[in-house]
Amino acid sequence: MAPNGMSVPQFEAALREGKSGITFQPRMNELHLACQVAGNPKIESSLIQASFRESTVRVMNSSMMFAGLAAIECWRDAGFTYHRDESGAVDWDTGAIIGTGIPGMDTIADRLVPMTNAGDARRLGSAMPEQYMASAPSALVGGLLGLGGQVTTVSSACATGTEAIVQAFERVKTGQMQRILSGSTEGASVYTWAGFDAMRVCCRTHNDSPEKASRPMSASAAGFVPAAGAGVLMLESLDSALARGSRIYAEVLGGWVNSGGQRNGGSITASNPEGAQRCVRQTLQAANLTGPDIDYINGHLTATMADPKEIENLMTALELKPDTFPYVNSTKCMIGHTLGGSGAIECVATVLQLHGGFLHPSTNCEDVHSQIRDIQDHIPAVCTPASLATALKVSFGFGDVNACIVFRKWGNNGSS
Amino acid sequence: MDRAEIVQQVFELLRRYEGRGANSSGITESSSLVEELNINSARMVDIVIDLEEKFGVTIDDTKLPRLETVSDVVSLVDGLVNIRKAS
Repeated sequence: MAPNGMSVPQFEAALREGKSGITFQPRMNELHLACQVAGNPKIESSLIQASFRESTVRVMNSSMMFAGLAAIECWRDAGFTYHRDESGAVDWDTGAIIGTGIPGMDTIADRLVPMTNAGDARRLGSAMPEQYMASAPSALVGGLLGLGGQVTTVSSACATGTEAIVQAFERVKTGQMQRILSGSTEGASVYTWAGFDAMRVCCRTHNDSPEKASRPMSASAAGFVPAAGAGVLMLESLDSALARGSRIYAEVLGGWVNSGGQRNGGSITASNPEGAQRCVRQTLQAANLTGPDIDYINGHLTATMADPKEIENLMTALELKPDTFPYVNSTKCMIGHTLGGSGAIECVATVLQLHGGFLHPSTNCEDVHSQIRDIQDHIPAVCTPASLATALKVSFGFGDVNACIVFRKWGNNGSS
Repeated sequence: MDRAEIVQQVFELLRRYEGRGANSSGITESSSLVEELNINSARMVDIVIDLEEKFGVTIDDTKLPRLETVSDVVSLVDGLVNIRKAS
């Protein structure tokens, strides 16, 4: 559920086309935010009606809806049946680790606070806490699908989605769970975006040309474009997936999660370079790989001044020179920064590129930043067919937290 | 508004709260809200708010625990509507 694609086929087509999902947001304009563009998925009402009972729709905010739709599509794509009436037995072998960055902001800002302040709390109804509790997205997904395994939410700012998938991987790898729907979601709320706008970290130079606003790795990058959406991957033990005859998009080879400790250049908002580099190195170690094994990196790369530093950290951690640096792109060029949703949506993008054998264009990067010009040939300007075997996804978040994961194209392990 | 109209409007309202796997097409006045219609008991608060808006009445919170069947809801609303008319 991304701003440029409301299903996996739509999203893959959009990635191949370099289609932007960034649009002008009248509400941001009315509220005098400096940034007035965002990636705001518009879900067709027919999809909502076909997916949820009316009584479920009434108690969902946007982050829950994105998570629910992504999970249902993932569930079906993995070969399972979804019943709109939420009937069916409990599936004790499947769990859900669905993260989010900022839970229920639209519920809180649009209903809870205004109605409480107006002395009308009695009329809030029964469904407030279930929408603003941090675990709202995973709880929704667990109920929709009748999941009887671990159902939980993780939150680590912009590293959330990748961290959720790494956690799911570890649980499946150790045999504690057969399958886990893993990913993350972020709701659409101008109030979430206003806080970042106030930090002067959002793009304010392209309100009249939204599709050009998100410019990762560009010399003219002027801040990130706030966005919303969700991504969910089914992580399943190989034995179970093979036994079910399900489509396998990719293997997870390893992942790592750490923090830079908010020291040595790290802070609540900035990454300690050593922490980021250690996370990449330990991911490679967990995957039993070295730098030259990585064919492609889906960067965190938000279109801020941190982009060149991120490339430098990656190059150091992978122990590579510019000429041997892997291909790198940033999905945020098309969808903006979906905050807590970004890691998972971008893992979906990574897996789709591995599975489909292509590199999506890193749009709006025609003027590569001077500090990374020595890798500009490794940044796809157009959609490029590519025989990719191994991809690294990196995510970095407020709190100086890092999460990285390595995927391998299924069928490339020499034994399958 | 007579009782028959209230019954139909209450049926329509309650169907929107049908629970997982419920088949509220078979709703009758004797239907149990929680056990037969599978309505989440927490949602009774929302049903009361909807009833207040639909029928222009005020329902005291102390009435909530007594609403066990569709008939209980209809009788409560019917009584409040009649009190409103009388005043």
